[in-house]
Amino acid sequence: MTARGPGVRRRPRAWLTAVLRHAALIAVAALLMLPFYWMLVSALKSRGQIFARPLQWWPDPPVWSNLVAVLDYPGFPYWLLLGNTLFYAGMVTLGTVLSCAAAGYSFACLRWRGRDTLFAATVATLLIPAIATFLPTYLIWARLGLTGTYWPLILPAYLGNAFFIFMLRQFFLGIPRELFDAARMDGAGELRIFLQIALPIVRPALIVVAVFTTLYTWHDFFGPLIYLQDPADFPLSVGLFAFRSQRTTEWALSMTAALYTTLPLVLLFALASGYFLRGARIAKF
Amino acid sequence: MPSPTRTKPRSAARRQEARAGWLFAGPWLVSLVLLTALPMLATAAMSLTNLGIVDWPDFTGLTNYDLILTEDPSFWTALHNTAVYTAVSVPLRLMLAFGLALLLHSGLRGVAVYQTLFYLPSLVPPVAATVVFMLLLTPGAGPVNVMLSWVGVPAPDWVRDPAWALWTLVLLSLWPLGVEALVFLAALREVPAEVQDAARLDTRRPWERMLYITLPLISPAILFNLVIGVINSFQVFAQAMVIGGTTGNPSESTLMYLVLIYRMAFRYFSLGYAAALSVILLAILGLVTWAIFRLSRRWVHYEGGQR
Amino acid sequence: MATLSLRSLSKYYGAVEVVRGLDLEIADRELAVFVGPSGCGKSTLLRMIAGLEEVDAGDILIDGRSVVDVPPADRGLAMVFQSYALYPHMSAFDNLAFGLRRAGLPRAEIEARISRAAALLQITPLLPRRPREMSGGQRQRVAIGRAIVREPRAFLFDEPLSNLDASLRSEMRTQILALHQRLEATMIFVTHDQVEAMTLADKIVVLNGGRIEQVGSPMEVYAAPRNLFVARFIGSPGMNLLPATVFASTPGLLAVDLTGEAAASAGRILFDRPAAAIAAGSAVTVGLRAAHFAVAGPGAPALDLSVDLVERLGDATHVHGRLGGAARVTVALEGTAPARPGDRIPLTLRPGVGHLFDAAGQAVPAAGARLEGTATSW
Repeated sequence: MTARGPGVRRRPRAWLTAVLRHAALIAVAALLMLPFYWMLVSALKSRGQIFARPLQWWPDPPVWSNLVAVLDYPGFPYWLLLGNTLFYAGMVTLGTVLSCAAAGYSFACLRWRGRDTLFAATVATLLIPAIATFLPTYLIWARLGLTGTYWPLILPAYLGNAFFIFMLRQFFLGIPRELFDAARMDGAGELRIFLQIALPIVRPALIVVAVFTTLYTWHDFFGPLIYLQDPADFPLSVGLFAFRSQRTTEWALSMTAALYTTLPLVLLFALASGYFLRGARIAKF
Repeated sequence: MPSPTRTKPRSAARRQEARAGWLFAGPWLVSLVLLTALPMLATAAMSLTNLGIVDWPDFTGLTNYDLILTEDPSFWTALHNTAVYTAVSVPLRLMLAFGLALLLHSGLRGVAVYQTLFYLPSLVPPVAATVVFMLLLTPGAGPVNVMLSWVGVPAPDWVRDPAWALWTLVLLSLWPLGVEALVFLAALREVPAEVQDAARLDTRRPWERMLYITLPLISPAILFNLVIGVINSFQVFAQAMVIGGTTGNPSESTLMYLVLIYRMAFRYFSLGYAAALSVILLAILGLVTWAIFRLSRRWVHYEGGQR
Repeated sequence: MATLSLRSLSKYYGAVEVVRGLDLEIADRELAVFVGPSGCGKSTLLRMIAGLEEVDAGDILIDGRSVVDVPPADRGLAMVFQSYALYPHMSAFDNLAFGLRRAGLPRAEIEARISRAAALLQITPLLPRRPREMSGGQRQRVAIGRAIVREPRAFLFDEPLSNLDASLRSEMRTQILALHQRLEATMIFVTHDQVEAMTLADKIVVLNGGRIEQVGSPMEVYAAPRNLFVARFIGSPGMNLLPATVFASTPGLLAVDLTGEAAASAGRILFDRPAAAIAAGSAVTVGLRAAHFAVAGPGAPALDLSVDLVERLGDATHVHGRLGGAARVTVALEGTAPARPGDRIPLTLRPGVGHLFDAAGQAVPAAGARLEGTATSW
């Protein structure tokens, strides 16, 4: 019987709640996008337009030259800053991936005395803030004469990072033991097992680590601020800070500068958005 | 993997495996000692000296602590600002993120688009984000005050009024709540649908289902976000520096604790003093974290008997 | 306890109609089983009755009152889920108590109900434990306990035995039957396992593609399937469905030829007193269960079975082979029957059995099937 019975209900109440939900989500999305919008719009304003009354929601006329002017503006050598940032992020990402993969693998798949205790210590350090260690660490680097360089910022990455070690260990734990036993019986050495069996299996996790390390390094302000002195060495974060400190009234150019600081990350996100979102999910252990 | 701890003759393969274990984890173990354990002890030791002002430090005992607690009004200001900032921004962010996650969880179409949009703000570097927010909130140059006037709310001077500058930082901290929302969303998705169905049969009131069933089942995610949020909020630095510099303009209203430490260490070169400040903050942070974990036993429920 | 009525019930997922205008009546204290293949809509239907799925058209009445606009908690129903759906963060006791507490029952009443249910299901020592500290069977009993303490008008079971291993499953089946008798409750049980359906049900509802194919007692559905789907679905081993062509049709007799190798006849089967006439030459299907065959005596009219495979089960022997070289059949003989692959066995039909289905798959009732040359069956 396919006759539509009395009172064919198209479920009006369910439809209404769906509309309300979408409305709320759109409102929140609009609020969250407002700063982006304002950054873009203000980047195209002249100094007078920034403070125009009534407020200009769209620059009239847009000052497209801002987009180019800031790239080589005194006090904001964009390409230099970008190059430094790419160097910094690249070196740290490489070191982090290597060291955390090795350590995570060791904690998960290799058996050695003291392993579990040391892993517990690793987890404990997740709760220890940088404040606890940065002063003596700075002194050591100062005594070594390496302040003013990127060494203090890059070298620790090649030793490991507690959070990513924890995360990668989770992934390595998911590899069935039998794969390793079989490989050992075939006579493969430990290094080869790591490189040719374990690493390929956790490749997606490695990409997540790389993506997030790049993000955090790009955002890093405190580290570069205390170790670098020559403005020619600054990454974008410190460069923008210095620019703002000197030119507090150049709002439009500050917005353009902020935009250019952010754009490469948006590009990275566009290329690897799946890994960003996956990472947020993993973080909940 | 449980392994017996009795010593038995280890085969060559096992010895090789153990050696590889130490080798692979070696760099990290070096870091644990040289970059974590020793520096922690050194910080404590430094706090008891007058390092920095003189090249060869003298042991000064608790002088630094005495000075901090009795003769440094900036300490109390920074502590107050940081505490207020944390106490307001963390719960607010958690609640808003949770609300957002609930909206996303209702099985609407296009959730992926919203997820992406909500994630974008967390990509913006803190320095850039702060600069943008300062413009947003500047009366006469930013739309926030204009939008407030649409709703009839009187618009404060977010940037220059000492009573309001701190709230600029709080607002800024709410912007990247997309990440926490996604963590909550993932946790919500893990609640088995049939358990929620069973709850619908047990009670008709949605808030009861939320309170007794949903929240307890996502409590590990709440704890995670809470602890991370608190630890990070206590150490806010870049945003505070951009808004107020090392003096916490205007009138020290944006002076945060880590900024104070930075100022003492790198502007006044009082490293021993800065170390003492660090120790105090660590103690407070440790206490707060311990309290959170202790209380968490009552309201956090783990699946499968973890921890 | 309660009666349940479904009237012209429909549900759409997008453009697809997953429940197609169903009508059904379930009487007080009946144990009705919804059975059908995956995707037939049986779970959806159960969830609609519970209020967990929205109804697009039609009505659901419990004890004569429409409940379509009533939230699940207020319909007076209780449900046992396939995954048991126990609250993992609560003890078994709290699981049972949760709904009652939310409803505002006094503590003494709650404790009384729980201890009664726990005694009935023998789960009293489990009450302080968490679900993760229990086995699958224990969790299931707690889930049933949660349903019992609600003292509902009807119980709904959504494939509750599917997650148990085989031995536990048959034990739980018996327990559920006992429970049904003890509580004298109206129950609706959903399963994809037709054996479960047959053993548990007072009334079987066979579903397929959102439609009811047949409603009846287990024996009705077994002995008088209304169409090919039901015939195929019910009974194990499945009914042999043999293509045939009508040879002759008179009011008292219908003769069909089983299709053998190269379209030759593998045997002629006569149906006495068919309910309808079918034109000669039409295609039909003959339904014969494995147990409907017997070894023919020497010289008697017989169908010729060539044996391919033999399964010995102890109390019976299942012989798989072909009639007339083409029609594949499974035949059940005694446990001691001598049969080997390659043998040829003459088969006859037991009196009073056999089914006929027309070209549209609908059953054509008849008094029974027999081979030509054997006596009428009545």
